[in-house]
Amino acid sequence: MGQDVRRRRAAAERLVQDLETGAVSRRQFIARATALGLSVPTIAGLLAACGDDGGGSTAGGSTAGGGTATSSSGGASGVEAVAAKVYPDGITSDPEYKGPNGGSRVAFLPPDAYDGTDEHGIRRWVCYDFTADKPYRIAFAHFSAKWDLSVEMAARAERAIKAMGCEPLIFDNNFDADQAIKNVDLIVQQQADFVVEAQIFPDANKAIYKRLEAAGIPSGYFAVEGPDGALFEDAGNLRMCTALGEWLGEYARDNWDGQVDLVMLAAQPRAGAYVAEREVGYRAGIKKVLPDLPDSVFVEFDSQGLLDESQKKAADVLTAHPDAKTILGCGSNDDAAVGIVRALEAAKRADTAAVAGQAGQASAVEELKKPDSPFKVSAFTDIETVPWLAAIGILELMGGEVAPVNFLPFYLITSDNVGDFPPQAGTLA
Amino acid sequence: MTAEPSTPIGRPEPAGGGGLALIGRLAAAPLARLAAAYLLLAAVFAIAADHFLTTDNFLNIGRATAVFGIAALGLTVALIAGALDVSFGAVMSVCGILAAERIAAGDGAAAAVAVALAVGVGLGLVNGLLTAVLRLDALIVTLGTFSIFGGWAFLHTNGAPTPASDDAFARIGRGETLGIPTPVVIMIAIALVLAVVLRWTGFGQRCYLVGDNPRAATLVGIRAAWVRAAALAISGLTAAIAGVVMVANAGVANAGEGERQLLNAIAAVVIGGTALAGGSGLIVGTLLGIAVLGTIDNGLNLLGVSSTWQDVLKGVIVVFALVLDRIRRRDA
Repeated sequence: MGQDVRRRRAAAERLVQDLETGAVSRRQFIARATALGLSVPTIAGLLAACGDDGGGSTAGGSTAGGGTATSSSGGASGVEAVAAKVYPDGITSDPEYKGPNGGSRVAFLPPDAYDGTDEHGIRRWVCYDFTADKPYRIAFAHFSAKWDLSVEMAARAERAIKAMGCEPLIFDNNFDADQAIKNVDLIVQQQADFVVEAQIFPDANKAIYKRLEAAGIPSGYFAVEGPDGALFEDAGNLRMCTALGEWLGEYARDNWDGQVDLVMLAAQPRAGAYVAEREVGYRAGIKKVLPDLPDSVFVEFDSQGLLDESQKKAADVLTAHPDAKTILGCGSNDDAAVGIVRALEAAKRADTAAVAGQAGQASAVEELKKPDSPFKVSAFTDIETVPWLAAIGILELMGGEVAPVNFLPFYLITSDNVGDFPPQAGTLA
Repeated sequence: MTAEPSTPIGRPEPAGGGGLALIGRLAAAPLARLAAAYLLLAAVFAIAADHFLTTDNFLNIGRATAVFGIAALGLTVALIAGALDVSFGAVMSVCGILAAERIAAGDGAAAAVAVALAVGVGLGLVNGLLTAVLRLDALIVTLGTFSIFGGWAFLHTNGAPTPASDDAFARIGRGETLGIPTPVVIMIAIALVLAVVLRWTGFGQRCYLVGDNPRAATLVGIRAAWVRAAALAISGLTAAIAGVVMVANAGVANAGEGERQLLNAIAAVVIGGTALAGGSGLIVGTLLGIAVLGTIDNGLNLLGVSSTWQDVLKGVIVVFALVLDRIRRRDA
């Protein structure tokens, strides 16, 4: 046994030397390293250390100090490309952001880590373009079949999981915590190896995590945080809304000489601490550009993330601030932002206002198409990046070390580029 | 509108005569008490909130309440006839989606509205026919159709929003008529029509009779089931109008959007004094109920009270209204 280990180590060292001298390509290196039983992080680390010779698919640059690496290919899926973003190479410790549960290890998926488009016009992200060492059963429990984006997410996840040589098990959480927990029982029955959980109740995620942990099944959570230490993936409310806040601040600086009379924050205080980071981000972003803006101009209200509710509350805020001329609006999501827009229009105060939202909802797409709308900017996330959490889970199953908090790239969308964003819902599903 | 019967038909009016007696009658009338309560509420907010007592603010209240208010008016007619319609939220969603689809297809606002209203009446009639033919309680029937219509909306759209970008259509939800938000004008127009129907038409009188005592109504030759069916069709029609206004305001139709209006609309009707068991109620009472709900939301927003407390307060008011309704019926 010990002799075997020594022999493999010697073979591995020779292989590394061959890689360094260019005697083997990156692709050959991956195949041989996999055969020698090197772990994914080890392979990734070695490839990162030896630099890029262009042998694999481009994985793009990292936004936060993370490097790129390549994982093994081959196996059942027949997927040709071998490049993969493999963390911990991409892990960075962000001193300012600790993750939704205070975690310090945060991984960023670089926004340019995609490799053209496929036959559906979908961005081809190389991050999960690799094959697992075993045909793991990966469960993907999505928000609800009543939401087109969720249906599309499930379809994209199913495709990605299959492409990684694994078996997808798709479940519908139906926007219902009870249903999500019932689904966990089915997931346990079907002996899944890893679970991607996408549902809207943070407390339910904790219960789900406990049940899965008791069954020995690791899990990851998308958009709504799980318990401390659980794998998590999202665009990152704080970082995304900070960017939006900066955009609004710059708009006010460039168009109103930095004079802002009122900042309306259409919040969702009942949605938990993680969603509340959106308002924190908006405030931080605006004040970063306009540091002298007094706190008194910020007015927060409960929009429940709904257009009509946001409209009602925003109308009342405008009534209470009749002298405010230059107005910024910050929507917890796009519907809430459009609610602010409707209130501004009704009060005939839209001309000196700028509103931001996030999520890429249909209401925002329609509003951004109007050149005169006060809805100026939104942050969209490519739905195709959602299954990245399944890839992270598979990498962990393969023995890799992964970051607990993983941030997806987001894009600031204005009337100038709203037509360029790739189709989201209705492509595969 | 004040000429509407303020007590259930078949029940004697309080004896009258003289100025003091008139004041006494007014004080005893539930509607007058509700109006007085509303004025008191408005006075409190006028003192406590700086910008409450302005024209723009009252237009805000009207705008904020118009969608569920329109639905509540039709619901009042159904409830007076003894048919509690809980499917109207789903009807709103279906009709809003169909209108948006017509807009997306380039058919124009008039065609979109016509389709939505026709479907709304049709769905209301489905409720009515099921109630009449199967002799089932309207609540049971409309609970079932709520799921069917609402489920269809999701299946039809696959949960996808349907954009409704048309200037003429948008004016229904966002425009103004004579300086008043168009949704408010629509709500008031519907209230006038329904008040006239209930007070001065045979159908209106039959609604009260059927709601108060369906057996007695049948014995005097009224086809109670068909009166309820017609009342449910009216509820379907107003739900469709509410759905159109909702989508025209938002600019996009979403399945499930109408269902959220359920609680507010029923609350407005109950606060307005319409008996859940049927047989009594007034359109003007529902208008006051709508105003009470809208004013509470608005006033508390102006005072910076959290929406959680607003929900609690609204819940307390609805329970209080139900208790009053119970006491009133017991005394009667």
